[in-house]
Amino acid sequence: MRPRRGTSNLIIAVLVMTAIAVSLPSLFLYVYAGRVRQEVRALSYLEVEDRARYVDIDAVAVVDRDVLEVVLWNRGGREVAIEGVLALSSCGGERAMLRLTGSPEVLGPGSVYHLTVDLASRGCGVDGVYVVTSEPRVYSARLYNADMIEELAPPTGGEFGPPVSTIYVLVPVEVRTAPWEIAGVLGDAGFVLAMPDSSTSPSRLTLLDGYGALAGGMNSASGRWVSQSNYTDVTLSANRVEVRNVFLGYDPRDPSRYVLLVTNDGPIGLGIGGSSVTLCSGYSATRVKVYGFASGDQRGIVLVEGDSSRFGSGRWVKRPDQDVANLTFLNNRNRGRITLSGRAERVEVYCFVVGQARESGYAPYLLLMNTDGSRRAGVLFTTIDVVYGWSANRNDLSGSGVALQDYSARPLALVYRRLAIDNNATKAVLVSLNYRFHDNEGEDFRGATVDRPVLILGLVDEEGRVLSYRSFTFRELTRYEDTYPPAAQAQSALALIPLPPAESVGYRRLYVFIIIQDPYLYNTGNTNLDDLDLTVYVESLAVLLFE
Amino acid sequence: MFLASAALVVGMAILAYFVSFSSVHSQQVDLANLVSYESAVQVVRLVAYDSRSGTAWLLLRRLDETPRNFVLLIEVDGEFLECESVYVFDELRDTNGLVCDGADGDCVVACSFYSGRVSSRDVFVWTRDGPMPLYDYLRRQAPELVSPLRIPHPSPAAGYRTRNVVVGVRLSELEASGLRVYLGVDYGGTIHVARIYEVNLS
Repeated sequence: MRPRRGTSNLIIAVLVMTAIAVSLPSLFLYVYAGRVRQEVRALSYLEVEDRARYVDIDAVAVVDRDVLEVVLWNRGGREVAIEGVLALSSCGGERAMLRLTGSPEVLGPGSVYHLTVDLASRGCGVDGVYVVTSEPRVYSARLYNADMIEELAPPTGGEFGPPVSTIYVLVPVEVRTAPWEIAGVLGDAGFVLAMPDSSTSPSRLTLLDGYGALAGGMNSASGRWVSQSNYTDVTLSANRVEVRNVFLGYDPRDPSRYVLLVTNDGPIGLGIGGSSVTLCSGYSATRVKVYGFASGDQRGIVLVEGDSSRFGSGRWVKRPDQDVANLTFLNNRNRGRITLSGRAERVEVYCFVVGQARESGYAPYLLLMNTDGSRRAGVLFTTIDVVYGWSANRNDLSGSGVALQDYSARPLALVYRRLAIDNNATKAVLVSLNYRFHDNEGEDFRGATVDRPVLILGLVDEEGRVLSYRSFTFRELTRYEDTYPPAAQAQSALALIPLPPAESVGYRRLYVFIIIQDPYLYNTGNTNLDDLDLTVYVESLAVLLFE
Repeated sequence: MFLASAALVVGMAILAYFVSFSSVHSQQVDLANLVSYESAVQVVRLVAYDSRSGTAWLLLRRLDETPRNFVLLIEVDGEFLECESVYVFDELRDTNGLVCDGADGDCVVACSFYSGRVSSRDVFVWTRDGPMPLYDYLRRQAPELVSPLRIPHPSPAAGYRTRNVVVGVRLSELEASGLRVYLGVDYGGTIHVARIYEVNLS
């Protein structure tokens, strides 16, 4: 008898359902179990690896007669719990394991743990010292006895050589005299003014007697800067006075006081000594340098108004910014305003005189200051007076159309004579420079037709021959600044200069030099090009000798 | 009627199978997870090997701080040690700073915790292919009986300041080149070896 069609379908359905019901749970459990197992293993493994990876203990044990000294140094970057220090010993002829510590000690990164054990009272000698950490790891200490150390110790007479390297900080400089005495400060610090034979690729530097040459060396496009007046120990105030740029730093002698360099294309009206004074009235531009300024306003040092996207409706500056360009181009292409009130130790005023005489000294352009509140001074050099421009218009053009481009006809070249580097004893010199750079060329390198060095670092020998140097050109420097909104990023550079050995070139004494300059005036073919001015702040200059 | 009865029987059979399968398999999952977990949290370190006295000093540690006792087997050059050869340092009894010197009772022989023997066919070693009897794992070298060591975890509640267990292993063979520590876990009265440490003594 054939089964009916409905019955056979039912039997097939039951069989299929049975197969599925039997296989599903096992499949599910197989997948689930495998996943859980793998997760547990992976997590635990990672935890264990992570705990052990960064532990680095250096353990030294010294047996000095009957005293065991154990020194543990955590060389790693994380805390380590020392759970025990054990010593394999012989005590009275019996082998034993000494327990030197009982309770756990936590060693911070870089910290050292000392342990002194009196072996005489236990009558034990030590064959090995083992440090157990909580990871757990076991470190076998390097074991020395005092006899070994005495054999290794140097004989008296100091036959050990000099250290592998020594670092000398040339800048920031110590300020023993008044910070406005630039020549005095740099001279006291060990710098001697020099004259390079070329401002772009110097091969010789001639040392100059004194700093008299700083009275000249800077040229301008349409005139020169002259000193108009100096004020000493006066009250100083400004009430919403129109200016273009402010450079603000700490006074290197007293971090509670400040130094300022204020520029404007036109006069600046200030209250000095209780009187209203219009500085540089009738002149095209003004630079005012203020030293030892102590603000009398609780709200801050200076109130700046200008570009609302930067200063809102006005912002009290409470401390100097490390970005020295932070207060330049206060109101973008227009003048901003400053308000301040306090007392200044010294105020220097420089006015720009339009005429055929084009040479100025360096004084209007230099400011010894710092931005970190230390008691040393970096060197700020700026030729920026008015505003930025582009490749199709003139930079630093005053509102009345006077071109205020400046450039270094003779660079500021300084040789550090207090450190003589002997190629007999020194194998290489590493010069480190930290600096800030800012320019007023809105199109950066597209506004310059030639690439010229702004900073040069190098070594010069006693006869003035340049051994080697590293130059920092405009196109390199301008990559790391923003003209507007102004930003002079912190930059650093290292220049490693191997010294030629005395056996091959003879004995030479070498000195570090630095050249700072504004190498651009303008392009005579197209005065909108190469017309940039700039700011350089040398924050630090250090030398590392490999001896 | 016949068909309804048959469907009921089949349904009951499937349900019974499912319940039974789930129960057995969940135990297997639990065990697999436990073994996997234990393999990662139990650690053995060699502190020192005193070749003059033939003593290897080992450190046992649970990374998860769970107060679960250690279950282990120690093999030296193919022979499994008896509990008489293993001493456990008890820091609470130590009064003279000497580990296991016998003067102050700070050294407890492992037999005082457990001294039984089990068949090596009833101890399972977990390999990549799953659990395998120790007897099969060791193949021709396998002894019929082995002595598992059960060592208590140092409980902070009892006053132990470190969570490490220091164990002294007395080796009868002074020329031993190394020892193997089989770290296991007890599951339902059966020992499952989760990890094997090779300790080089040479």
